[in-house]
Amino acid sequence: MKPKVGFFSFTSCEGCQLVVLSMADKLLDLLGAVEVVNFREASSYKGEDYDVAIVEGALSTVHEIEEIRAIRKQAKILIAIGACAHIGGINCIRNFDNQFEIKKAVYGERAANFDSILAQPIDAVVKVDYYSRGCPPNRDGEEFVEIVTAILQGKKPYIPNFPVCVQCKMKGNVCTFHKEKPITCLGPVTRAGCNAHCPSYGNACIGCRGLVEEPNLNAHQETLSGAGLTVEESLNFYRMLNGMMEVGK
Amino acid sequence: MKQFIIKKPKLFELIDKLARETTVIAPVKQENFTSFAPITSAAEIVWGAPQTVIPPKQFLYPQSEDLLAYEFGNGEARITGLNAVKERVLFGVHPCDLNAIGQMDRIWAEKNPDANYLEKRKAITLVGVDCLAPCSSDAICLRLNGLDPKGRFDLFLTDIGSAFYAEAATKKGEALVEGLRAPAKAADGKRLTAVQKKRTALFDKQEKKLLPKYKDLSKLMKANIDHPVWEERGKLCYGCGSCNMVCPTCYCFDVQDYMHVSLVKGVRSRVWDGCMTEEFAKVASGENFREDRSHRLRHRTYRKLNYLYDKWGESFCTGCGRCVKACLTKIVSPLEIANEIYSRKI
Amino acid sequence: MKTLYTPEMAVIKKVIPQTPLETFFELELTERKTLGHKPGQFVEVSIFGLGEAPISVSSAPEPDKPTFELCVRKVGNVTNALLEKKVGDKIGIRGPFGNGFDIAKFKGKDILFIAGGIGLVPLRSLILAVLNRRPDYGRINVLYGCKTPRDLLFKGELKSWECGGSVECLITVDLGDESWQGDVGVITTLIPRVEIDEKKTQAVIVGPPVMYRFVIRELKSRRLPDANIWMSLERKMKCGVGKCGHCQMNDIYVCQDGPVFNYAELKKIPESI
Ligand SMILES: Cc1cc2nc3c(=O)[nH]c(=O)nc-3n(C[C@H](O)[C@H](O)[C@H](O)COP(=O)(O)OP(=O)(O)OC[C@H]3O[C@@H](n4cnc5c(N)ncnc54)[C@H](O)[C@@H]3O)c2cc1C
Ligand code: SF4
Ligand code: SF4
Ligand code: SF4
Ligand code: SF4
Ligand code: FES
Repeated sequence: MKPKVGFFSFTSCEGCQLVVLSMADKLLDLLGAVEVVNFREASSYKGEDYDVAIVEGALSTVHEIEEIRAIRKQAKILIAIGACAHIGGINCIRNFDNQFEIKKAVYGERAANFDSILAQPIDAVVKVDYYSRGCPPNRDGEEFVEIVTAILQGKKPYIPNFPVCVQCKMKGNVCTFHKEKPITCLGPVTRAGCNAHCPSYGNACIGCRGLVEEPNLNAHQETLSGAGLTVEESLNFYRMLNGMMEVGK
Repeated sequence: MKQFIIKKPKLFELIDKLARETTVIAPVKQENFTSFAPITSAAEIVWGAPQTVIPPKQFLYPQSEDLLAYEFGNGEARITGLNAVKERVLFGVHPCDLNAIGQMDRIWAEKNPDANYLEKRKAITLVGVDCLAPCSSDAICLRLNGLDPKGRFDLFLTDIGSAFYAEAATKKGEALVEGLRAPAKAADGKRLTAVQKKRTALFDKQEKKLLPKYKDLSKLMKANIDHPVWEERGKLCYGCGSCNMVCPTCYCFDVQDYMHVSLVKGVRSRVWDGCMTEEFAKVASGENFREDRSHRLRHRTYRKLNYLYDKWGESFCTGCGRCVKACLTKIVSPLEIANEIYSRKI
Repeated sequence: MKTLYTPEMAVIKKVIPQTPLETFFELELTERKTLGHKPGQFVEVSIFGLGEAPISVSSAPEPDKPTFELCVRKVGNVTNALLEKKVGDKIGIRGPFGNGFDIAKFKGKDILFIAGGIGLVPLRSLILAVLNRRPDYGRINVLYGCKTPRDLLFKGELKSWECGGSVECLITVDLGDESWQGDVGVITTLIPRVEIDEKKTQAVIVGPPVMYRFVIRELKSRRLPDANIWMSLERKMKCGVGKCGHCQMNDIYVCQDGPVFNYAELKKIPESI
């Protein structure tokens, strides 16, 4: 029997859903292997019958926290997809400013009426079984399918725990630090698996897949300051997507 | 070894022709560096500096290569075949990389011959080009015995001004330039010697000095397993494996199975791996047999300057300088490590 | 094209669960008469779609026997899948690999086998080989330590070795239970209870990395020379054929030059233990 999959969306741009839908050649294979029973906004999940929940987005309201708890209860397997679900992502930038000011800026005078809390990744509230990392995920066009395949096989998916540099070098890219006009890069502390997508297109890695398990942040501070970044600028660089991780704090 | 003289236009014509008829891989421009890639004409080739970001090992031992393909039928795995190997010309390889390929030829053939490498190797015609100036300020080839190619090529070309001085170490190399070569005369040999002498003087002036003697490197390493240099430099290591990936003599690999989502077929591939990465020596129980990054840095350096040096009688760092450039925290240079150990006796 | 990395197929003939985590398998190669291994050697077991894992051969080398035996603990992708396999299923095998024990060195000697946990698996091959030619050897002791009584491997066999009176087995667990009446404590507590003859005794140790240091210290305090101590080491392995580099400790490839080492040699390898 094909596993039944529900797809749920929290605070995010909903780009992760699009990524899954746009995997043209792989999508048919995927749909041959699983049955999708829900592909809507999280609020309409109730009563659905699913074994696997794929969740995008960060949690940023009390209501969302209740919803993710309910989803966790129902799902045998919970997959967090995308940087927002995995590490809080860009939503967490707000966490470093005055919350009252932020609310006021967004909602104006009625700010107090809105249910809005500090943004958090999914695993800050419930257990996550698998992560499909990245913003957007599946940058190398393979990983999401690999993760689903591994789950179908009953295997732990292979997710590298080495920095983006490994794959960047395998691709033979000119390191962004070594370009004629150097650019600072988060690759040396970010977890690989995207086949060094951004440096392959001439951009810096901004850490969308989260950090490796043992990032050498002291070394990175040296590298960044060597490239002319102040401590403040380095911190902001991390906080772009990795605000929830130790470094951002 | 046979010596010839080849007129420059003739050689370029030959390359153009080969590029049409077969696959010719040569250094081409890539931003402010170069990279080995298939070419369509001699005009695309970058001669000399700058160096390629990664060495040509990728054409003999690709970043990722299927070892097996299998299909499941009746619940049983059936092993299916793999792609045949294509004939290719690898052109414009610098002496450091020629030496590295020569070393890899020994490694993959040793004890348990690795057909995946050796078949590809057999299908390659290896054409080297001599360096007349260091390819970058990171190059340390002269110091590490990597500038003399020691006959590790099919054909080797040195630009002596009006023509190329060509040395053929194999029949394959001779055959490649059949018809456009003239035997080298004594005067040509003299010009070659003059070019080489000038070049060596230039390298000696520009490359960083190696303080210990080359022949003492292995002993020096062995005696300094507890030198503080490992700890001090290791502290700044990302475990990013860049120094492994770009090294022409790093050849460790990981093996992973990739199943198709239909679960009816899959492949087993080997992928470049590096001893500097976190999980390289870590087993299922969680035990990591080389947990400390300083020990990994030592292991990498020892592979080049001690273990393989002792076994094969030469440094397995051929001095290409790629790791020196690639390492963002500037800790990995085998030459600098050797110098530091030598001048900071413990 | 067959390469270093092409497995042969083997059929599972027997599956006997040993403990909640470990299962015993009997296998038969489909293309060759016999595996032709030495005690202490291992095979790369291949589950297509998941990968390979090095597993010690647990049966005695018997040239005419078409089958060989493994005992596997589930810890990850390959081993989990292996434990789901049933009689009649086929798996891939490469090998045997590694140096194995040089059994000739033990002739006429007293042998002290010391196994921790799953370390009994490779040792069993050597023990059975020795028992097959029992008169060639002197006194034989087996010391075996496990976490709990539930984790004991080859329980029945241990008894049968003893019953013949040709072997003396001492077993201890770190943590007993209601039914356990044997020894409780770490394996080193058993060593004082065996006779050690500095000249004659050969100690063979296989167990988790932490065990070696303590056992060796104990044996040294009994003045057993380094050269009389043998062990089999674990390392990460990917290829088994001396190419991938994962198993290396200093200049030694454990998959080729090991996994069996003499302690006198090991002492010269700083990364070994
Ligand atoms: C010489 C030798 C003999 C062994 N004999 C046995 C035995 O008889 N019975 C038994 O149950 N186990 C044995 N092991 C341990 C067994 O190899 C690992 O438990 C197994 O590789 C884990 O693989 P996995 O895919 O299930 O786990 P994962 O965690 O998914 O491992 C992934 C891969 O990493 C490598 N790897 C992980 N752990 C180890 C390890 N401990 N040793 C070597 N490679 C590893 C393997 O290539 C493995 O496929 C032995 C190990 C060695 C080195
Ligand atoms: S560009 Fe970034 S990821 Fe690539 S090698 Fe340089 S630092 Fe590493
Ligand atoms: S290179 Fe960095 S930012 Fe770009 S996709 Fe990969 S992890 Fe994300
Ligand atoms: S160790 Fe560094 S300099 Fe030496 S061959 Fe390897 S990459 Fe080149
Ligand atoms: S030595 Fe340098 S290049 Fe090598 S892994 Fe460490 S930080 Fe990366
Ligand atoms: S396991 Fe690959 S070299 Fe030993």
